[in-house]
Amino acid sequence: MKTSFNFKNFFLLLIFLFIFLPYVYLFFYLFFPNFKFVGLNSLAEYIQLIFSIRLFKILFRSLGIGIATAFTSTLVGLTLALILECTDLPASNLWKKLLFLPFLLPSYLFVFTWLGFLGKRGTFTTLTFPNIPINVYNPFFLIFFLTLCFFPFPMFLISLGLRNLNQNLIDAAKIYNSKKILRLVLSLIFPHVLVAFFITFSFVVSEYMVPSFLRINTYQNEIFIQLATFYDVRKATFYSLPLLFIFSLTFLLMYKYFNQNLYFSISSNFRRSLKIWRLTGFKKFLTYVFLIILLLLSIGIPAFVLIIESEGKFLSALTLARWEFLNSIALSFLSAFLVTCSAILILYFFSDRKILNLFIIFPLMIPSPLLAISLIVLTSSFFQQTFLPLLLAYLSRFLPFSLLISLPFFIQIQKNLFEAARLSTSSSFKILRKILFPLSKKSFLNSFILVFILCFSEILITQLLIPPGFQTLALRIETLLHYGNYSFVASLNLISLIFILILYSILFKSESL
Amino acid sequence: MMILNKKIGVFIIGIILLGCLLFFFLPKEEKVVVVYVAHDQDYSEPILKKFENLTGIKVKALYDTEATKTVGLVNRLIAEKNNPQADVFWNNEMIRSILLKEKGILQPYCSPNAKDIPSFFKDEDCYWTGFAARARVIIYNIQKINESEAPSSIYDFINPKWKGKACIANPILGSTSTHIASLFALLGKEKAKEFLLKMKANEVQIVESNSMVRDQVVAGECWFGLTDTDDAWDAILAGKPIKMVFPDQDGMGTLVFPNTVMLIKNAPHAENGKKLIDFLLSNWVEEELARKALQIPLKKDVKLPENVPKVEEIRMMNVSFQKIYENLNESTQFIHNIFLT
Repeated sequence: MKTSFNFKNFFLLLIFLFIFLPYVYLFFYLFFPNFKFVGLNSLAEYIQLIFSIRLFKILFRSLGIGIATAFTSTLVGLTLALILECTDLPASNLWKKLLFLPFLLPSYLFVFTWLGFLGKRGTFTTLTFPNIPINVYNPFFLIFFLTLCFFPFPMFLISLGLRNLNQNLIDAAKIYNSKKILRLVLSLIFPHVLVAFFITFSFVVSEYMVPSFLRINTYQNEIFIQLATFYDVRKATFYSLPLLFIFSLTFLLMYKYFNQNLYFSISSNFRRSLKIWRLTGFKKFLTYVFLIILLLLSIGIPAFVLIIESEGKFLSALTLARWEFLNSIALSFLSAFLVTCSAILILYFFSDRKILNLFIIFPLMIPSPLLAISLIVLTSSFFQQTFLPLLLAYLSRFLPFSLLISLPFFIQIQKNLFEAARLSTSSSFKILRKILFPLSKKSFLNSFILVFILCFSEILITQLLIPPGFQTLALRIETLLHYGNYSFVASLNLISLIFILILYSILFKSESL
Repeated sequence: MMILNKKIGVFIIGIILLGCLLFFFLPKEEKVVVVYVAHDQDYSEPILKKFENLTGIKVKALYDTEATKTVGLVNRLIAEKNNPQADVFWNNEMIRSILLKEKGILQPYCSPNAKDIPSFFKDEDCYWTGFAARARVIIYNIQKINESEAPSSIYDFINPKWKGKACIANPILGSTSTHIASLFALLGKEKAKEFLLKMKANEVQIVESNSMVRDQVVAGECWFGLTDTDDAWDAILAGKPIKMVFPDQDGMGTLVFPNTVMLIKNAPHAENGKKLIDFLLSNWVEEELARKALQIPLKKDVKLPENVPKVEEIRMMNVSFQKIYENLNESTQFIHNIFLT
């Protein structure tokens, strides 16, 4: 009897191997480092260490900063999303594009320019910024800087949710009781707000370089130290367990909410803004002041410092780093394509299953250096000096973001479309080609842009997995920082920002047609 | 028309993907050497290019970044132990070179160009060889501190007069961790711990890196700090208001530490690796690093730029690198628990 090839099971096997095997190995390594059982005594020692007051203090500090930053970022993002999508603010698309720009800057550079502006580090340019007597080396300023860096992501995610709302529901609410529209809208987009909060929280808790610039020790730094200073992969893995527990619990609670959510509306129109409220008089003035101040703080000052410090050396900088620039483009394009296709297929095959949350939770739990080390050990025997470990790392690392960006769209797609196609004996490939991809092309584009940007700016994993003879632009810039070659650093950052902006503008323009 | 546009779009995406795949998976070259480089890329890259031009051997270099200075590459070498990818490791200090030797990552190679390097700066069994050194120095802002009262010893970091005014780089990474370990080795563990506790009580600020120490002193955020000679000279040559002092020249001496180069055990291109090591230990490389990166040559017959001292002119700490290495773990653990809270 002829059996047909089961693409779904094959895909499941591939995904397990590519995404979960490094993590499985990490936990296997706790008990069997170098494939030898070491007994439980050393684990007992680690358990003692992990319950130290010092470590608890650092963990709670990191979580506190994460929650506070996620809260402030989401609040700012929500406010902006409502202003941009639900009011008659002129040129709202332009505002949205400008307000998304801070997310495109690597977070460490963001704080770096601010420290330069405040005169905290001196400069090597002809203009020296005066030292402004503010103590920025505390958690409050860390929260402030990180909020300015990350607020665009909740704004982006919540905007997608708002654009996905059913206009008919809003119109009905207007007729019934116009004063309760805000409550209705907030209820409908609450899942998006929650997802935005969670992702921002994971971004912040995983952040290592920004706290170190501000001399604040975080839990991620402790994990990094175990790897970087004491070369203890087992301890570093064990230190990750509290984060794993916290993220798992948070996401499971959130997922339970998703399952019970009654307010998801279905709309096939992703483009139209709602325009519920009109801005007039003082409200309009306040809105403009809010937007301008936010732009100034998040883009204006960093851009100003970058432009000043570049000293016009764009051509020299680009000549120096031309190969790194091309490398970054090629690597990011390939990675973004791979990640986004994988995300769409996962959502198609597993959207009804609770194990979907595994694809999202576990990659977020594992700090980037740990993932990189496990991949080095796993793949060095088979993929010598290739890019496969790096692509696998990007797949593991950025798949959750692609999934979370695409999930709201997939929830909206009616499952009976697929069932009808199967009943008419369409193959899986035909269903993917004729139904899934056309319906999900907008989420594909959004996911692609986001993953491209994340890959373009990624440093930590790249450094550990990149094959010799190859360097990305982000690595090159970060290395140039060490020499105080700020003019080249600023020039290259401006060039990469312009490039990303062009890509971003083109893709978003095509989406609106 | 729409179908044609779709087909064109799919074709273009396919070409781009194919281009990316070919770009990444091009056939490997045979005449090649793979080197992991912890030394600063701006200085090391031209030297490696020169080697390429002279020998025709393609150099595939992997550079470290400030975020993971040295340790990222060391971690990678340890992880790749059973299937090494690198042939040579060019380290910018020596303690982690000893660590790699202890972990069996290296194989001995006695380069003929290493003969005139002082034995203090190389492994006696030829596992690693030092060249082009740096020193740990104190830099101070001349707008904040007069020359007459300028700090000249590491004990100034615990002087209550300078409370909250000094900074050092992350003491668990890079050359600062080596410096702390050297204090453990020289002063003894108890005295070194006492010194570090006093440092913490004197509110010495911990910044991310040696270059950040330099920047903070230039900005006046810190009045003085501990950094390396090349970072200090970058600022001095740029005309910034700082001066540099070799600390404890009347006392315990200054820590002078070399770049080190070593051959990786079971290197895929061992013979090419040996040629690269010979080149890096040549007079030309030391002159080049002295001229461009202000590193201190270890060979006697190397031409020195004006502002680079001879290594004999510096009173060095009288402690072996092996002993510093033996104290590294304990000193780092102590620092980790005391300073990083």
